[in-house]
Amino acid sequence: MTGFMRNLRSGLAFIPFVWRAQLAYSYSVWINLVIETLGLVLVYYFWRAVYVGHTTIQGYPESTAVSLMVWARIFAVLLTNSNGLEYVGLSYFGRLVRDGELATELLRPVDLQWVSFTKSLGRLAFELVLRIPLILIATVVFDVALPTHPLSWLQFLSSAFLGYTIIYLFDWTLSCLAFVTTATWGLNMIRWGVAAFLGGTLIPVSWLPPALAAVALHSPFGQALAVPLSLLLDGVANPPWSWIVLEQLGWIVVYTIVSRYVYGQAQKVVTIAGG
Amino acid sequence: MRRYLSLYGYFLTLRIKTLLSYRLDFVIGAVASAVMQTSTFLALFFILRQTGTMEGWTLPELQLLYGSLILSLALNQMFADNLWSMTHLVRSGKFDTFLTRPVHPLFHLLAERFNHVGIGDFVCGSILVALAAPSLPFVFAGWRMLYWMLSVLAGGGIFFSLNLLCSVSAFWLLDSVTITRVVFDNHQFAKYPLTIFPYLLYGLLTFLLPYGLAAFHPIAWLLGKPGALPALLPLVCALALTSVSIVLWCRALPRYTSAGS
Repeated sequence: MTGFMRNLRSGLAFIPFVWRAQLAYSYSVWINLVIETLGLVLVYYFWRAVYVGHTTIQGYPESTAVSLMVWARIFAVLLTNSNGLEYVGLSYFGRLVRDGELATELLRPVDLQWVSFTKSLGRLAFELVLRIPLILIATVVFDVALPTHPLSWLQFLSSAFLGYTIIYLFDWTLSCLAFVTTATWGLNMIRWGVAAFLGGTLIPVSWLPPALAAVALHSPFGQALAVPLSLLLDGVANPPWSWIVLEQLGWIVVYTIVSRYVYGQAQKVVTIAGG
Repeated sequence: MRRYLSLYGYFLTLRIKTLLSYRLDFVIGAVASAVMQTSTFLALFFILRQTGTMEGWTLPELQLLYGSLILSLALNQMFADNLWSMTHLVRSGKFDTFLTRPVHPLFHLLAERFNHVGIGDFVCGSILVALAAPSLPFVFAGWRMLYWMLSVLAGGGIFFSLNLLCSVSAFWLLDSVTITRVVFDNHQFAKYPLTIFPYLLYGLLTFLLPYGLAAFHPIAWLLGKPGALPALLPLVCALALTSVSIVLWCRALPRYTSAGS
């Protein structure tokens, strides 16, 4: 219990530093906002074009599909640890090994996985705050429906938090590959491509063939984005919130065990460079 | 010219030997980019399976457009990716190296780093076009094939010249990545028919950041789609833009002040 409290205190203490580090290069924050806004414009007009000559596709009217894809674009940050500073992921682990920082990290009297998780949550909170202008653009300029019921938001946020935990643990497991290969950039790109597809940022998951949709929804990427988004929007088919949360908690238990085991094994084979 | 070609071959051989010393990394790097492109195209495939067309464009037509843009992007990625390193080179003073060798600095900068990641994109783009070809409303051969190949090359030129123009900012601001990212990200629009966007975006992507000339206009002209510019205009514009960007880069070069010690 003392160890847990120490880890908790250490982790929370890092959050203000994470925010300061993210703001150190303020121009990059603005540039990211410009790029994200461009992405939003692209998604909006693309999906409007998809519906030319159609009133509904796969049971989705145009307004639902456009809203879903715009929100997926805005909240795609739930899928990734690669915007700005990273605290998990192949690139981060690769750097730890390459520069020899891993040795220092492992010597600290705190749990690296837990501390990185809290830092990662701090970074996510920062990114979500940066999404506020995008939400305003989406609702004011593009007239995209914004859920007004507080319960929808509560359900979305709780499921998004659990989903983010799942993807964090998944990424932690995957990142251990950096201990045995130097091809972290390529592997990261592959992870991004798969995440974008299965997470539902490119197409609504329910539009995929049934088997692929099932894989997507139960994958860490679907759990992190497509599933929480289904709670945010009316008219998007989804199981009850309680069932979703139960499944997410189950995945968290599974991925915690797997990530701890793989990380433990990886530590035995890692060769730390630098010095 | 012959000397430069032979030098380029030497640089390329050296780079490939270096890359192949980590074979798995080489393969993963080449495959990675293709996975990214494939996932985006798969989404388009599943959407078109539901709708049949998008603003009058069928799946093979969109496939030709998408594949052509990827091929142009791949050419730039393979042969001109080092432009993304300008910030690092200028800030660290390593750019000095390019000024002390008996070859043109721009040639040396480009020849120094062949990016194998573009191979994946090139293969992916070629497969998409090859699969689309039999289903297109014309026979994809003869002068049409020649025009398409020239348009892909011209597209590569447009990607190159826009990146080159952005890289110039490193000589003044010591940072070119920021502006390059903002400009480069606009190429995502050009993967789709520009006619789906408002006139303002159509104009922007045709005349100001002409990624539309890289694929949309030549392909739309080949397919007889609305919104296409005359056939030769994209090729001429690409040639002019490439020449202007090279001249401007060379003119800006004296602005470089070494930061190293």
